[in-house]
Amino acid sequence: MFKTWSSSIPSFPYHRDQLLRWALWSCASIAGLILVFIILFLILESVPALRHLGVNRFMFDPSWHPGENTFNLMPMILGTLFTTIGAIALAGPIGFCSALFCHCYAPPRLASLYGRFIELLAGIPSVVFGFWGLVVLVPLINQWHPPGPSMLAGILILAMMILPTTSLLAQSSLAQVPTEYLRGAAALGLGRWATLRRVVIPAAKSGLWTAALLATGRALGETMAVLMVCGNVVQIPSSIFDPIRTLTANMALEMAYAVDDHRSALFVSGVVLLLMVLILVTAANWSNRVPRHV
Amino acid sequence: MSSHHQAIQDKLAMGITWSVAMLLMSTFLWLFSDIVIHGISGVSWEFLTARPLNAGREGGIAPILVSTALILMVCMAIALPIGLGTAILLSELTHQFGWMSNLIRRSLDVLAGIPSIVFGLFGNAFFCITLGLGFSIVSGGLTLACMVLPILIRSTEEGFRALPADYRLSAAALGLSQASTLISLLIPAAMPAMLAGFILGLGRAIAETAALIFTSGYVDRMPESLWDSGRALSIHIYDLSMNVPGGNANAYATALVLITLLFIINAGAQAIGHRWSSKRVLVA
Amino acid sequence: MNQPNTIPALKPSDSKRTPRPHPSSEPFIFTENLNVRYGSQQALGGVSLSIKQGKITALVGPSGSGKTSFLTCLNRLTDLVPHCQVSGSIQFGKIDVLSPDTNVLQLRRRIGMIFQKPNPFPFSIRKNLVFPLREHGIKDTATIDARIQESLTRVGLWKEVYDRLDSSALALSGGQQQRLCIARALSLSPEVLLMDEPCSALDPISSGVVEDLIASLRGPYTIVMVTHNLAQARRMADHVALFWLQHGNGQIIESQPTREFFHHPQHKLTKEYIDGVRG
Repeated sequence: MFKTWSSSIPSFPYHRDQLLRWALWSCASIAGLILVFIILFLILESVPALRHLGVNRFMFDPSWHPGENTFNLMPMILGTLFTTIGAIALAGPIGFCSALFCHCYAPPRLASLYGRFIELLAGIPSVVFGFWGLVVLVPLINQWHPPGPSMLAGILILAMMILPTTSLLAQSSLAQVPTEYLRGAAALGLGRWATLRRVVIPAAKSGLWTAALLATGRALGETMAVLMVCGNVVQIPSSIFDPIRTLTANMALEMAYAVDDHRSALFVSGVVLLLMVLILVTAANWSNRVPRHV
Repeated sequence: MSSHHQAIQDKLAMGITWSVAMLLMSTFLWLFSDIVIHGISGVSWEFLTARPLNAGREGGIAPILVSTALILMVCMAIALPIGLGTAILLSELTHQFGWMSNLIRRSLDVLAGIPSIVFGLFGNAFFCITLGLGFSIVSGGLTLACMVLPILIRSTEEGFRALPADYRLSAAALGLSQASTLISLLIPAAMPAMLAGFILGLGRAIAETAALIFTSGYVDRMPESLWDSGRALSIHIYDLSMNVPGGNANAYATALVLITLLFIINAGAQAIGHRWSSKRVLVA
Repeated sequence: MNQPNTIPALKPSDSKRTPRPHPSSEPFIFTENLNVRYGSQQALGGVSLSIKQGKITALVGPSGSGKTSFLTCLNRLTDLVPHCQVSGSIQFGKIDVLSPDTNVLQLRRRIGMIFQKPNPFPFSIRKNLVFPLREHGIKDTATIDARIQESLTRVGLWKEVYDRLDSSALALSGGQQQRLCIARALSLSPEVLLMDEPCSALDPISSGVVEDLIASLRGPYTIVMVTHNLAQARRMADHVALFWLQHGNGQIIESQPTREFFHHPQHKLTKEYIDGVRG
C-alpha cells in the first residue's frame, strides 16, 4: 500500500524537492527520447533513397551493386532470415536442455558452477566468437566442404552466441514456476519427469516462448560474428555451404565509404532490420504478459 | 502411466540434458582454451605498453587500451547520472508522473532490444554528423551510453524497488523531505544494485564492436584528446583478423586481454552479490 | 505568538525536553467528520474524535476497521499512499493539519510515529539518530551528542549500547530496535507520538519493556496508540475509542475514558467486543 510517493496532495512546498523533481524529470526525458531520436534519424537518413529509388527497387533490382546503381536488399534479408532461423533452431532446443540440466538434473554444486559458467559466456564479446569462428571453424568446414566461409559457419557461430542468453532466459522462466505447484505435484505422487512434463514446462511455457523470441531478436541484430564467418557474398544461397551476406554485415562493410543514395540505402536496410526486431520484441513482451496457467 | 515407464523416461531426459550440457561446456572450453593457448605467448608487459607497428601485426596495443578506457569513461560519465535519475523517477515518483513514466519504461524496453549496428548508424548520423563530433572517442562513448542506459536503469530501478517500503514511511514520519530521504537514505541503501548495474553495463560496453565502427573510428594512434578518433579493443581484433593478413597472432593476444578484462568485470559483479538466482527445483 | 499553520522549526535551544507539565485535559487534537478513501474504497467514514493532551488514547477494534488509516491521517502520512483522499478536518493545536499550506515536514517533526515492525535504517545506531536531527537543522556536534545520549537514556537503551553506537542498528534485538525507533522519534522533541501496535511484533519480554516505556512517556507526550490487545489498552490507556466497520466503512462507535469504557459500555457492540463475543 505505502509503496511510493503520491500526488494526491499538492506537492510539498519545498524548494529542494522541486529542484530534485526537475532534475529527475530531465534525466528521464533524455532516456525516453533516445528511442524517438533513433527512429527519427533512421527515417530521416533513409528518406532520400526512398524518394529517389522507391520501395520497389529494394525488392526487384537485379542485385545489390550500389556502384552500378542496383539496390536489391532481398539477398541480404534472406541471408539474415536463414542464419537467424538456423541459429534459433539449434540454440532453442539446446538452450532448453541446458536450462533443464541446470534447473533440475544437475547436482546443486555443479548446477551453480554451470550457471556461473553460462552467465560468464553471455558476456563474451561477439567479436571473439567471430574471430574463433574465422580461425577455427571456417578452416574445418573448408576441409569438409569448401569454401568454408558459409551460411553454415554463420548459423553455428550465431547459435553459440545466443545459446547462453537462451539458456539463462529459459532458466529464469523455469525458476518462476511457483513452488506450490511442485508441492502439489509431489502430493499427487508424480515423479520428477512427470512433474517436469506435466507441471513445470506447461507452467513456464509463456516464459519459454518469450525467451525464444528474445533470442531470435538477438540473432537478427548480431553483426560481428556473422560478418566474420559468412563470406559476405551477395547472393541467394543454394546450399548451406554457400557464402552469404546478412543485412547487418552489409551495413558494417559499406558504411565506411558509402555516400549519397548508397548511404541512404544502408539506412533503409537499418530501418528494415529495426522493424523486424521491433516486431519480435513486441511479440516477446506480449507473450510475457499472457497469464500463465497449466 | 506406470512408474516403470516414468523411471525410464526420467533416465532418458536425464541422459539427454547431461550430454547436451557436457557438449556445450566442452565447446566453450575449446573456444577458451584455443584463445588462451594461442594468445598467452603474445601477451607481455611490452605488448600492453607498446604502440602497434606494421598495421598491428607487430608491436602492442597501448593506444588501443587507452582509447577503450576513454570511450568507457565517456560512456559511463554520461550514462550513470541519467540512468540514476531515470531509475529514481521510475521507482520512487512513478505515481506523480503516471502515464509518462509508463511510456518511458516501454521505450526503454524497446531500446534494450535494438541491435548494436542500429545504434552505430544512429550514432554516426546524430553524434558524428548532426552534432559535428566527427569520428571521435566522444561520439563512440555517447553511442555506447545510449546502449547501456536500459541495463543501468533496469538494475538500479530493481534495487530501489527492493528496498523495504518501511524506509520511505519511517523517513517521512520523521519529517524528512523527499530529497533528503533519497540522498541520505535510499541511494546509499540501493548502492549495491547500482554497482551491479554499473558493472553489467561496463561489460556490455567493453564487448561492443558494431556500434563503434562508425562512431569512434579505426585510428590506432594514441588519442590526444576526447575529440580524436580512437580504436577500441574489439575493433582491433576485428581489423587484425579480417583486414590484416598475418595479424592473427596479435588478434589472439588482444582477444585474450579482452576476455581477461571481462573475467575481472564478471568476478566483480559476483563479488558484490549479483547472485545466481535460479533455484533448483526440488522434485522427488 | 505563532500564526496558524506556521510551525516553529526545531531549534538547538529546544533541547530541554524535560516534562512540560500539561495537567490540563483540554482537547489537543480534534478530528471532525474525517473521511478516508483509497481509490473507490471508503476506509473511514465521518470520524470525530478529540484527543487530550498528555494522555494515552488507545484505538481498539477489529482488523480493517480503519484504526491505522485514522492514525496516519494525523501526521499526513496518507500523502504517501497513491489514490488516497482525506476529507474533513483535523485541528492540532492551532494548526489545520489537512490544509495544503501546512508545512508537513515540521508537522511530522512535532508528531512522531512508531510502527508495528521496528524499522531502524540500515545504518549505525548513531547515524540513525544523527541524520534526522541534521535534517531538521541541528548541526552542532555537541548538541547532537547530548541529544543522542538523552533520548537513548530516556528509552533505557543508553547503558546497553553506549559502547557500540557505531555498530549497525540492525544487529540489535527486536525490542532494542523498537526502543531505538522510539528514541529516534523522541530526539526530535515531538509533542505527540502515534503508535501503531508498537508491541505486537515483539516477543513477550521485550513487549513488556516497551510497554512500560510507553507508559512512562505519559504526561510530557500525548500518545495515540492502536492496539489489538484489550488488556494492554486497559492497563495503559486513559481513554479508549472503539472502531468498527459499519456500512462498509470504519467508524468510531464508542469513545470513553478507560474505566467507563470497560465498566459501563454504552454500545451493545462494545460490550460484546469486550466480552470477546464479537470482533
